[in-house]
Amino acid sequence: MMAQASQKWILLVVLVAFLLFLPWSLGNYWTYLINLSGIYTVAILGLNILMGLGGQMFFGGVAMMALGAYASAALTNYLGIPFYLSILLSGFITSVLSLVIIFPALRVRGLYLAMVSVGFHLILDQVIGHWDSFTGGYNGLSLPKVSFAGISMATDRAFYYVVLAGVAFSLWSASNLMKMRVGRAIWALGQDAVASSVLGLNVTYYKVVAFLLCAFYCGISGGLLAHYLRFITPDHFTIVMAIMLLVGMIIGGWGSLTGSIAGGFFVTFLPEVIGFFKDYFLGASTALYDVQATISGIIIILVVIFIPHGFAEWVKGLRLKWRYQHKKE
Amino acid sequence: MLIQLITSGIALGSIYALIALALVLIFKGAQLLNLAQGELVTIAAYFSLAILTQVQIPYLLVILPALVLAGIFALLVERIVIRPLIGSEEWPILLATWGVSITIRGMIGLIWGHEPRPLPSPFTSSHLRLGPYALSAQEVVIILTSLLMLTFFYLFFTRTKSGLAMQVVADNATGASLCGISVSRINALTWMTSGMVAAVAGITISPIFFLHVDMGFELLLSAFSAAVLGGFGSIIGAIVGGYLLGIIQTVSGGYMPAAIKSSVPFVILILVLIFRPTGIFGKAIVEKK
Repeated sequence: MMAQASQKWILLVVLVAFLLFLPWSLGNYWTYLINLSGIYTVAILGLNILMGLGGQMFFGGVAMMALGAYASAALTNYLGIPFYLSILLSGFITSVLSLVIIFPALRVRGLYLAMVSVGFHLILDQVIGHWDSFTGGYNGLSLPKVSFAGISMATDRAFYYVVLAGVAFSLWSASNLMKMRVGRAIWALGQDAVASSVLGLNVTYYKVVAFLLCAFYCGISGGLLAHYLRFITPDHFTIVMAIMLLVGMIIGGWGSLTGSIAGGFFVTFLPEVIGFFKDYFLGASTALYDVQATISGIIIILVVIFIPHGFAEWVKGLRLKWRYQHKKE
Repeated sequence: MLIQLITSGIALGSIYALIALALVLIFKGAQLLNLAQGELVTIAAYFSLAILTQVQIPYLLVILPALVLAGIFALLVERIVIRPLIGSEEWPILLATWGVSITIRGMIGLIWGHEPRPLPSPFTSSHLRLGPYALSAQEVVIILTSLLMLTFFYLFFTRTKSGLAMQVVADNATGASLCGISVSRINALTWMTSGMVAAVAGITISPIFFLHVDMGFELLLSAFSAAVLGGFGSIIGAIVGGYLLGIIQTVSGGYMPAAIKSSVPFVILILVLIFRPTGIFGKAIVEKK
């Protein structure tokens, strides 16, 4: 018992040390990609609570990220709030603003919810694009360089620690929440809404909570993105990104909080890998965006046909199959 | 002013009605929402552009080969992507059709590029004069073609064996297959038909709205709102909702800033879902509490 506990501690210390030293062993570009992965991990975590656990078909995760990003930018630009506070606050602000979509969303389910959330995304896109005085419109909005206690955090390496803190806080808070009454209620809701209501669960209440939690994490993710890129336009929050987050969530595993990390890496690295192969096979002159769209679309189709329950489940299935075949021989 | 807005609204509404009809056909036949429906519109328009630049034929004749190509294309999508997913839950199919949509948009971007192109039509420059009002001839073409298509499909559904079989499968697939109707063949037929309906919409609207990669997706979302307004799952509802939404959008766009016009369908979608989720003709889709 003691040995096991100390082993766990050693593993944790090694992991923390590894994570703390990671950016010093990597170049700037790799650190940049890892930072982005971390940021998307937080958003996918939110989607995992709402979709993976709560079973709601919601495609508006990126719209919530956009709300968080612009809220955080406004807090810093117009009110001069330091970046760490504004990132945290953007989570709460996004939750409050999301009430606009949560109330219509509560009335519908399945396909209708999916389309309502797409509509939410597109309306928000129009609002951000045309409210020039506040959001900078399609020209984008710049943010000041971030600094903490007089030290500049604007480099990739320094911001890595901000992202790390954000991911650690989100994973820790989400995994604790999911062990509490709220989390179990959301899980039950995802399993069977009718059965949970028969067991005395207030379905509507917990649905709202799931939406608010999703908005909170997506908002934090958007805030991190805004302060990291220091320049946001509506082009950072496209509808294609919305579906990529979803595919990232599926690949990481439905409802698997740690799987969100895999999802974040998938979302960030897939365009990079596609870009690499495009240069190799098609030459640098072909438009990257179109190749990415084509290949991403094909990958989405392949994922839902062949591994609809995520990578971990898929590997588990393969292992079971392998074991079964070996037993027979 | 108002009369002219209403006639352009009817023209736009005919397009919405056609696409909404295509959506509802697939929804009833296979219980799925086809997010690639808009791309079927786009690709038919690009097919006809390709044909028109290769061979010299009149604009109205191009509809026929483009219809065939669009039908084959829709059939391929059904075969390759949808068939393996039959019997699974709702969301994988929804995501798969969205994957198809993204793939097609990427491929169109690769082949034809992103700059908007006009589809040459002799009707865009001429106008019909009715007393004090001037109607664009292309709008008249849109209205007449879609009325023709709608009549044709009405006859197809009520008078032919395949049309009746499609209705039966939509009503009860298990029962239909017990009666000896090949459900998978009817599903393929449904996809083909809806691809062709979408194609007519694409070819007739693109001389007015320029051809561009995202045009189908925008039309799809409006058409979905139209179908919900009419009552999702009802064919009559899709048509009525389409015309109604087209008129509302064009008329409100005439009196409000242009930026608001494209958000009108979603505002209507959300309002309908809040206040009358069954739409005008539909059955209940509301989450029971």
